[in-house]
Amino acid sequence: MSSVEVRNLVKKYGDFTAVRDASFRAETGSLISILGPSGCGKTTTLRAIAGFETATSGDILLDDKPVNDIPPWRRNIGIVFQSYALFPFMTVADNVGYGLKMRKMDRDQIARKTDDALNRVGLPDSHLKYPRQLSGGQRQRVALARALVIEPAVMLLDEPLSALDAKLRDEMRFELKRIQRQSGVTTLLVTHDQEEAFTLSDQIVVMNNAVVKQVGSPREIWDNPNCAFVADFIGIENILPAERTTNGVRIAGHDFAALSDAAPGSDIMAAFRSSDLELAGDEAGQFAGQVVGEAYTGNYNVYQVQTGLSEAPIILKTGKSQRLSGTINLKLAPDRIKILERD
Amino acid sequence: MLSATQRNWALSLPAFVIVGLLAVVPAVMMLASAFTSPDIEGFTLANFEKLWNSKLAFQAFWRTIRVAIIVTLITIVLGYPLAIGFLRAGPRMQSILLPMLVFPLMVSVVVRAYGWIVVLSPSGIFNQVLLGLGIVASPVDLLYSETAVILGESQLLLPYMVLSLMASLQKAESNLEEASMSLGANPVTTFFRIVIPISVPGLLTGTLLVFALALTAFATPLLLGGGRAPLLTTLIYSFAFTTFDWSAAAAVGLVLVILALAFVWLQRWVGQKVMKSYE
Amino acid sequence: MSSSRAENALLVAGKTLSVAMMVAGFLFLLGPIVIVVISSFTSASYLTFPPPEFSLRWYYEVFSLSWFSRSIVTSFVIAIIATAISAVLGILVARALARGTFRAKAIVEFVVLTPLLLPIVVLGFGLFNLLVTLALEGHNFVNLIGGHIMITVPFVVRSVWSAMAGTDITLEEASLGLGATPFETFRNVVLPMARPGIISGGILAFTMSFNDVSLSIFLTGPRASTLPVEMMAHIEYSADPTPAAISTIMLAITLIIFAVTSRTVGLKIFA
Repeated sequence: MSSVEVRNLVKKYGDFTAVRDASFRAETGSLISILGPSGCGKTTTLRAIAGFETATSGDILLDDKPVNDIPPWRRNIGIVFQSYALFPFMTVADNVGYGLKMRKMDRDQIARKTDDALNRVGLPDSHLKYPRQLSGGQRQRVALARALVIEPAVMLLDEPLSALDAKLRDEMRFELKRIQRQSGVTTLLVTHDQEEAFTLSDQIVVMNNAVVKQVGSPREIWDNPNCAFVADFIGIENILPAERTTNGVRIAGHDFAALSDAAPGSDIMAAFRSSDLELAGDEAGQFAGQVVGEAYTGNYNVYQVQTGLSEAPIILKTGKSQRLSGTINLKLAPDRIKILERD
Repeated sequence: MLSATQRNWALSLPAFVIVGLLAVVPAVMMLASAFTSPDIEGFTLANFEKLWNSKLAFQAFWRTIRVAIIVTLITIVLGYPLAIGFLRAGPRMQSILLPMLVFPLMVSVVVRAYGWIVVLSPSGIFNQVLLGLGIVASPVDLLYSETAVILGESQLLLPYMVLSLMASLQKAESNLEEASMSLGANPVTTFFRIVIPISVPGLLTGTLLVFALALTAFATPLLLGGGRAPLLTTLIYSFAFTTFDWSAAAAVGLVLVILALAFVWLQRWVGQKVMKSYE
Repeated sequence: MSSSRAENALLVAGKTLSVAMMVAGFLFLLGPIVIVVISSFTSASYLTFPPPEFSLRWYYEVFSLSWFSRSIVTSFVIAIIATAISAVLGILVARALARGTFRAKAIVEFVVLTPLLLPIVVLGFGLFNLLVTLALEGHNFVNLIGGHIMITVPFVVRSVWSAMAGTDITLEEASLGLGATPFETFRNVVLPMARPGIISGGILAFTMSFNDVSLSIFLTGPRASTLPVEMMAHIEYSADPTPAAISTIMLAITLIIFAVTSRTVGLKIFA
């Protein structure tokens, strides 16, 4: 097991830049996710760590030693591909034992380790089956066992859950976490699914357009997204252009108290979740809005409220007993307004 | 209003009649005539007896099988590098290589065989190179030999093998080789342990296709083997137009048809049994 | 790290070998054809490679040969007529086979596809036998057209059938539901959807007819003969470069068909 570090990684294909100056580090035994929309460069980064892509510049370090010149077959990295990439003409046991065979282990040892790995992923009696005879979830477990059994320095998972249906995905997410914790292997996960990244990771690297936008723990990113892209990507509904004032922000002429280090007068973006909006009495409100649309779900009510803050209506959720109509007053607590740099 | 059955028959009838009258009926009549002889009344095996005792026919039979096997082996050995090289090449390179691979399929077999006549003739480039390098003292006479037939047919059928191999390699999941390498196998090991096994279905279809086409090739062996290296197909022709022994030609035809149909059957069987395990 | 050095040597050797074999494969495939083309522009009166001097004399020679101009026209006419008739016949059967589930389907399929199962030499000799029995062997032109239709129909049927089988039957039902007659539906919906299959089938049929030797050699005669058969006969007697010039002309024709193919339906039809 090792730490993994990507340092100033750049990968270009001709004129196209797939990864631009990416840097992050995963400590030994931790689970780190690269989160981003498709085409953001996350898979290229993973392939560079595995050795399938050579970096245009920058370094890949395992245990603080650069491995740029080491070919994939000597990096000792376990990979679970999105499609699993199980060898179709080999049994489950032969698939899992393949890496051990390449390491010239003797047959008894291979059999023992294969048994052990298949037990760990919860597939104790599928040794003689072929991949085509397994369900999606079982194939996934075999792919995990095959990657883990070689005791890799790092395990790389490329969208490991995307091929599974929703129910199985929830189940496998817990399994993945359990197996990773038990084996203690440093793991790097690539995903476009923010829920997956937030529930599994110790650290998250958010990427967009070939650039690392933010690196942090799930908590940090959830509470303090550093730019409009990250805020939008983690599901903050309202992101509005604003200006910094001495003790807060000004959004479309309305002043709000807010906590920020930015210099007064600078252009920024202000973001807040709809769930942080509060209804206010007539006198305590900070801004007014007009209810223009409504929908009732089983648990709560959703309103579209037209305010002076933005052209598009703001979304407001209330308890199911609370009915709104006409003009209403709204307020926002100072610590709920997130100050973002303009992209 | 026609019923569906009547309509389907009406649609099928023209082709059915034409192909039936011009292919099925004549072929069956001709093959049946293998059991007749101008000298003998009724059913006879005399023609087959004659073939059995003919050194020429016997040689042609074994030469046909031998040539087909060697041609198949050559196309396999040359086919793998071409198929894999093609799949490894970038999109731009592929758009140049694919026409180079497919174009020969459209070129007349006569033109392709003539190419080998030019290359292998005593004053051709092959002999010039051999003489120039001092490997031989006088030109080698390769033309009108079994070797020439093998070279010509291999060139003729190589694209089919390459296309079959490519089809099965393309169908396989793209990450298998990377998975193998990440597990510690270098590219050479990966080639033998992963690439070769996943190409097995394509290798089988390619082998059967090339073998069947090699068995029934006609113009290439006629031009490159001439009378000196007759195969079953060219033997039919020379029985028909040189010795005018049509019953013997029909008997050779029957042997060839049995071989060809056995292969069609084998192809279907392999298609059903073996391919299933690769899905 | 000696084992690593040994492995590197193995990898370099493997890579070099595979590239060398790939180059050798393409040379094997295309070399003879290229050599024929180059040899055809020779000034010498016998085949040599490389040619001592560039000259078009063998092309003038070829165009003055009466058998060349006669047979190339015959080849074209036969290929065009055979392809057209095959296409019509093939489309009709393919329609019956793709949509019909009639009892005799297996028989129709078997008969229509028979020419794919049997060696063409056998088909040629068989047809020749029948024609001789009926004393019709002298009608070379008609016989060639009939024979070429017979060997090309299966190719049209196969490609049109697979094109039709891949289309959605609800489109036809929608057309009928909108008030189109079955014939109008066939013309406006079924045929356009089968178009790629029809074009590929037509190209395969034309190429096959234009290049055929195995069947035509039994059917040609003094009244009509095709270019490949005539050329084959003359290769045996002429040691001069005329066949090289004819080959180059045939290659040029093939190249045109090839270009049309890759522009219209793509090169996948041969795979």
